[in-house]
Amino acid sequence: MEIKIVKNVLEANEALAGEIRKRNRAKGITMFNFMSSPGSGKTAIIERIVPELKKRGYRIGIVEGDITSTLDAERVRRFDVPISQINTEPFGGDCHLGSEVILPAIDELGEDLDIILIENVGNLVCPAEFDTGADHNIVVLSITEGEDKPLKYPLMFRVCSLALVNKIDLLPYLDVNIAKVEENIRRINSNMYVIKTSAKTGEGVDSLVGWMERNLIEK
Amino acid sequence: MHELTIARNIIQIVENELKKKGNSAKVKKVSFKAGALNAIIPESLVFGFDILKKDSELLRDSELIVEEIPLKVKCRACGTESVLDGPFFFCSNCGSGDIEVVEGEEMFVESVELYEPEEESYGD
Repeated sequence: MEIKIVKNVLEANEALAGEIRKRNRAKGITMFNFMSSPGSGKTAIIERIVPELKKRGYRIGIVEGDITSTLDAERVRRFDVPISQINTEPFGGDCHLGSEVILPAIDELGEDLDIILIENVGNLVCPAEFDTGADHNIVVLSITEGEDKPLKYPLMFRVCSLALVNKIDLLPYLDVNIAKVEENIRRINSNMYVIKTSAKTGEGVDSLVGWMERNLIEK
Repeated sequence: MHELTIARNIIQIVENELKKKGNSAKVKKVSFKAGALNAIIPESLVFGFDILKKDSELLRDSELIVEEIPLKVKCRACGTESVLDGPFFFCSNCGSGDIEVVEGEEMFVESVELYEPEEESYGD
């Protein structure tokens, strides 16, 4: 006997993510979810923008996701903002942050916030699949990763509205064609906003912070 | 390895749905569909499913069938629908990049097949 089911396999995750978005909206909190492969500069970018956002008067909270270790959390601890560390190892070493681990993590940050930054687990595949409840998804792609990455990981570039092309301070030393990187991003998502950044020199950080300010939810 | 999480969800959905329907017959086959954009590796999904199903009374002797849904898009500019066979999100008719995905980014448990009462051997 055959029984029809037709049930979205990510339904539970998406329902909870919707709930998180609703709760944040009610509190006037905007959540940005940073995703990328390991080593592309997510933590370094966050280290750059937190002081800038604080200077502009925003109250920030950070959710750090890693399979194991608190190394990233330790790097951002000096900014004196609430940090919630998620290690996915106790959940079976998941390669992404599901909304079920985001919810307790943001609860831990407290309510007096304007912005929550999520640093997702470094991975271009799985995090794209799981809605965290963030208002905006941001992908960081460093130029050392190669021009073809958007084409190889299309879902990631479909679900994000901002792409940071990072480590541009290395351009003189690489054969990478940055126009090609942008072209490949647009092949996947023609509406993507692209900002070239260097977390090392600080180039592009102003544009990034400006973009974030323009995309805050209305209080 | 998001396949392991998805395998876990598949088992949970099947168990819940059968419970809701008051069905206690064992499951023979689970049909699962995944969009081309979901980057599911069927072998990995089946591998994870085969490990996790051992803990499930209802699904222990079941087989997971994974089918891919092609990536179908619709152009917002000219309205043409087309199927993409590579990661190039442009309309095949007018070349616009302003397209929406109609099909191929969803994953769902489509149906299950149950063992009939007379099928006494569950294959173990």
